[in-house]
Amino acid sequence: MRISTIKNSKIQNFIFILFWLLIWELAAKIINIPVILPSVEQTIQALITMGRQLSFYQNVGLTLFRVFAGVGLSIVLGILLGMLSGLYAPVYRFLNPVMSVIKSTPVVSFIILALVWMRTDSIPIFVCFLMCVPIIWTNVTQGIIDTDKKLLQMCSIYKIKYIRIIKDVYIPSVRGYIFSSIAASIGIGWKATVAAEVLARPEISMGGGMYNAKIYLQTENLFALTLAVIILSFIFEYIIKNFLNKLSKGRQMNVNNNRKS
Amino acid sequence: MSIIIENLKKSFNENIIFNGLNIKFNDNEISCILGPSGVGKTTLFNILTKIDRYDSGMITGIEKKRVAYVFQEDRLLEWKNVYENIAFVIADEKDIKNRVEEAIHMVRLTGYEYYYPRELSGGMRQRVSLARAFVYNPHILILDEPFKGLDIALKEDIIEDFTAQWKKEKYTVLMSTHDIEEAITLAQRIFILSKKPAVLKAQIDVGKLDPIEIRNIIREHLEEA
Repeated sequence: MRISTIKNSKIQNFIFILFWLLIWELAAKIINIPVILPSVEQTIQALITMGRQLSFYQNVGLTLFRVFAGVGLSIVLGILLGMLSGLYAPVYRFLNPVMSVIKSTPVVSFIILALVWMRTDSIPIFVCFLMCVPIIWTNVTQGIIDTDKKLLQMCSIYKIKYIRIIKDVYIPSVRGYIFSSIAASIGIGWKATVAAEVLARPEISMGGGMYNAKIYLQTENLFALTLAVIILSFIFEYIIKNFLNKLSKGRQMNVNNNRKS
Repeated sequence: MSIIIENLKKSFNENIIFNGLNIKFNDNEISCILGPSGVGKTTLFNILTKIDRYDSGMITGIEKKRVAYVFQEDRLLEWKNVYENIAFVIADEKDIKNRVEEAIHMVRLTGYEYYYPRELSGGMRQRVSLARAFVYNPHILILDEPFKGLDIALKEDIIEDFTAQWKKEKYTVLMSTHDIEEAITLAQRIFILSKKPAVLKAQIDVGKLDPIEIRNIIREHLEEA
């Protein structure tokens, strides 16, 4: 893509965002009841005010921790179970009904059940994990199944040991599927975690802050916290996608270095 | 021990590939199979290497043997470079570096060790596949149109080195080709298959006839096939 085209699309994006902010501001002015719809200015002001308080950063910190914990656990277990399911049909048949049910069940059902089963602090991590693990499992399973059969035939003829087939054929084949499912899970993980925090209300959490804003009719605080969640979600998706891209390209850098030496 | 195929039958749904094929490939010889496209040469190789099953018949002389297969398509690991792709098949063995370097030299890819398959031409990729088979030191080497896509000068160089290596190692080679000259240059024995269902139309002992006679026999049978 030409630099002028990239510049143009960035300018366009900026203009469209500005457009929607204007629509929001206009709607707020027309409704003129901040409790129903605070203006852009009121929201940003609320965010700045929150940003001056230590409690805001404590809430963000713990929510972040829960998102990472939930997504992290889902990555580890999703990859492990996905590989086993892709390699062994009975494992797939055993897990598929469970994963299908989890995928189909509304997140709020899990949150309410978890309120009965576990401690408040653990609920968001549990719910985040439940929402993300089927995504990763499905992608990894499919990645294993989609592994080039011709490569596997080649391995069979050359009598390559199974552990090396897993390490040198299956895992590289599935890498792309893993990366894309992680990228997809981050956004869902955030939403599920914050939703669980709203209902479970652990002591320190962004979701708990949203709940309080709702009951005290501090709608500008609710919007401010929502905006903070959106910004943080974008930032972390961006960081992780870049990291995963660098991992993919890292081998090419090594190749070039080897050739120079 | 020779590879003996007796009364081999194989169909894919309604399509009968072999309906009682009988062939014997002598040990320590280069045997070349000629036949029209689609006659079943690749299927035969796939059956010998257990990639495909056969319906009935008997195959002896290949079990428990070390077999290397150069497929029509290269089947390289895209995430490994040339060196790693070749070393992949002997990773648990000794003297890997020397053996891989020798194989790379044999296929004229010295200097490309750290290139990835996506950076190579089709012909170069096929040469990596050849090198991988050579490095494996097999008892039986199966080559399915191995020199397709190589320019003439390069092909001659590789065939020369391959022949020298074969004379040293004397493994059993089964190969297929559409190039009659290649078959006459390399093989001790040429087998001509008919159209489906494939049967053995002719078997030529290359050492006993002169090249002109061999060419005539081959052309005659391939025209009929």
